Amino acid sequence: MNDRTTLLLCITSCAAAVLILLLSRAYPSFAPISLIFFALAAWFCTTSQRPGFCLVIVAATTTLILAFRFPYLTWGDPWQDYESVWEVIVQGSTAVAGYRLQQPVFPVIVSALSGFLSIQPMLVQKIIVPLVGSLSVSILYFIGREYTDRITALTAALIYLSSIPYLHWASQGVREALGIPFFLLSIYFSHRAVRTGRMSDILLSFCMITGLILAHHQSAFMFSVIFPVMTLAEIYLFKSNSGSRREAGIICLILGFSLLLMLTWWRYRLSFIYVSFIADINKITPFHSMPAIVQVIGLFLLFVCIAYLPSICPGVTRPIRYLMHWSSKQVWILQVGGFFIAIGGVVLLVTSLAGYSFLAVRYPVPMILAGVLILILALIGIPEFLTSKRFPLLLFAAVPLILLGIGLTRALPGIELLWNSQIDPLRFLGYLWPPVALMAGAGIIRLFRTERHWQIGVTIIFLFMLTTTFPSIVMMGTSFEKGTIWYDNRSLVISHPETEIQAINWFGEGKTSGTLTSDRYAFSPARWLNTRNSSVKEPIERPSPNSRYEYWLLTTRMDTYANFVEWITHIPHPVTAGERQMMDEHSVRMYDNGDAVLYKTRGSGQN
Amino acid sequence: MINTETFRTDSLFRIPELILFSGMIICLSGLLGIFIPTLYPAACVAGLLCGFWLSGYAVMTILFPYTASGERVVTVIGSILSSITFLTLGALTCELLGKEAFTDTPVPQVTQFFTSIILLFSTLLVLIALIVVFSRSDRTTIPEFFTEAGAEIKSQIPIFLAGTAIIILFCGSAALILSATEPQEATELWLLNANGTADKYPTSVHSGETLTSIIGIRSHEEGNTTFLLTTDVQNRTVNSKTLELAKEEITEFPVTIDNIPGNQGETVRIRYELFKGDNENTTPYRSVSEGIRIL
Repeated sequence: MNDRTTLLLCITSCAAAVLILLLSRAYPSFAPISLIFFALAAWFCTTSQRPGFCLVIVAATTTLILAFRFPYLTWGDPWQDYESVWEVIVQGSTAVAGYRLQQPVFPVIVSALSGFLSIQPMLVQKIIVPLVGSLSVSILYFIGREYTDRITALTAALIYLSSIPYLHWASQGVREALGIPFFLLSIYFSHRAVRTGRMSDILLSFCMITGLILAHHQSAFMFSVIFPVMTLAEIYLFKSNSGSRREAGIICLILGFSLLLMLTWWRYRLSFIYVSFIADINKITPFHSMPAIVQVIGLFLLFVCIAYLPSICPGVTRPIRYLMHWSSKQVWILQVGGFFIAIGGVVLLVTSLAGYSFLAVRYPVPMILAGVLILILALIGIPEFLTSKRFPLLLFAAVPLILLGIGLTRALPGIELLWNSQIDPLRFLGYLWPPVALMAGAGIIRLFRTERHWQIGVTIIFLFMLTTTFPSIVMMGTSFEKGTIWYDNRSLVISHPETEIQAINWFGEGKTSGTLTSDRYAFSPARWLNTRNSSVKEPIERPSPNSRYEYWLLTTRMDTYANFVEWITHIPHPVTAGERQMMDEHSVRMYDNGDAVLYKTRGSGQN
Repeated sequence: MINTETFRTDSLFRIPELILFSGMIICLSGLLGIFIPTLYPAACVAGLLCGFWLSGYAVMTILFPYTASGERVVTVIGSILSSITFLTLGALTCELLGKEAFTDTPVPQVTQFFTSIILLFSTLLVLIALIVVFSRSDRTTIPEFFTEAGAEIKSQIPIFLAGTAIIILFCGSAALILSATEPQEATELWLLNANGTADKYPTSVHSGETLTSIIGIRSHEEGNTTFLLTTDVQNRTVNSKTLELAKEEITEFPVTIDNIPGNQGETVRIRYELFKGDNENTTPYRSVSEGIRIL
């Protein structure tokens, strides 16, 4: 079979998977069949001699799984970004007055595409944003090919595109979906600029960093931490002392540019992030009396001194290089140590949150198993990365891993920018996963020596990862019974039923006057009404006729699973029969479509 | 010169002047569309291409000259992401100049001012890129490319046709499935006050007074459907009405209750229950209600 036939078969498999996903909107039991076609597409990727285009097709299709499977935006975060799109469209610009999130890449591209193509912003958000997000896979493939080899890069790309730290965000159509490709390409061009020293590469890295800062604040922060550590460690470990002066200069230039632009943007447009950042700096450094910005400049100057040190004082790198040389001969220490660190990390994740184990309850066992599998494969692949060419990728992984560790162990309590590592590790793992996927790719190649075994192994792992990435309702078509291994309460809230949207649309027609609320999952699709002369607020109390909110939306799903005042780290409590009865008897039951009911309470309107 | 061993027709990036020249024509026709209202769709198409591809591609051509087929991925992705960055900077420029970049009347649109900024900026970048490309001594010329590509293009025809057939088949099937699996809306029943709003519902009346409310129904049932609406006061039916609604038909009508019963201080619960068909001895299909205190 030649490459063109393989490509055609890959496209056909993806097209079949898409059609089945569309069909599963009405017939959910069809959904598992799409997995067979996804597995076939992955198989054809592995058989192709030039798999780049096959990979693009598979990545694009998998990121659109949620778009094809459900008619509306999913979860809650995409609705927040949808609200920001409407804020920009209604205001006509990205000015702070009307657009609060101030990460303008997302609303600008959605609004511009919607305007130029004359289509609804929601459709653009559902389709185009995930497609842009899927570019991350191709970037990872390219980086992998440059630093490792084609087979490792392909294996890593297939693992990456099916794993949850990437696919969870890319498939949603949120800011993170745009942040990750910008982040990866910024790392690539900046590292390339340090290697080549060419002005063109430096300018390209500036261009990407600008986009990154305007796209997503956390991705920009992660870049400004990962890039300098990764490149600085390279200087200390591998570079000749005479040539390191120029490289140190380029690292400082790129870091200086990114810090200057990032902090300026945050200071004047993203003030709530800037305030958190300054508070974090004050907590970390011992010089509290100094203005925080002076401390930042001081830290940067300290970094410049460290970067230039090897070229001024060559002996300083000797003990570090000796340690590196010794550890490369004792790989088992890294592997065993890494294994215990990984297990410790999982235990910490499970137990660190007092009262409610976020990971154990929210994430089902198969999903955790998929993560553990990749970590083990990555540890098997580590020895392949102890060369000067591949070592930067290990350093790339080390930085977010250490930050995650600091966050989980609360070694630096109260650091806002590490908040996500403690509460929602999934937001943090997105930056750790590209190099981990490359290491896992190398691990798979070490395990499956022959080409046929490798193809079978990669396809099975891809299929397992893809199946466990989403709640079972997506790829299995059912949410399973409580108590079974596949049960995942996220299945109940990933999609928003037509009746819920109908009730929200009725509320938005303008007959009402006051503030609407609901549980956290039904509140999300309503929040874009904030820009349409209505008011929608996040719930801070349970449904009651004496609520401070004038309007309440309750659906039948909330009798089984609902989250009002509890935050994501607490056990949710569904609506009780008593609460439902109180609402029915002591407020106006003003709208009913069989599933969603709107109530008008006595609401004081104070919130 | 061309290395025929590694030459591939999909390496169109080897002749950036072709892409840049086409881009320049698109930019100019877009700018023309800004000034001639009938040609405005051309401005939209040009704005789309420049905003999401061309401006970034021009920068990539200048800073990241395409040398090996492996770099195609970076060229494409870099072009898209750079363009998105410039597009965002364009929107920020509009804001700085106090101009709107978007409007929402009647549907979301990009303003002419923002489109002009995108097109002017892209034209400038494309011009610079063309100068840079023509100043390169090792470039592949367009005639050279097509002379070498002739044989390869012929071998691409079957896969191109097969690909087109798959796309057509896929689009047709997807459209068919989408139309067959459209989300099913449910029939809605709502209760408004006498002014037709869902605000300030009456909370009290004197015993024996009259209460008027507005009931709305939107049918999402297949075909014509008969509904029965009953009005219950303290679980006693005081009023009923049969109506027939077509699919998607909306009706709103006042319901008046004379002589509201009850003692002073008592809260009377009034329920409006909708039954499918004309049999009220079944479970209500939809229901709304309100509580009125007797003064």
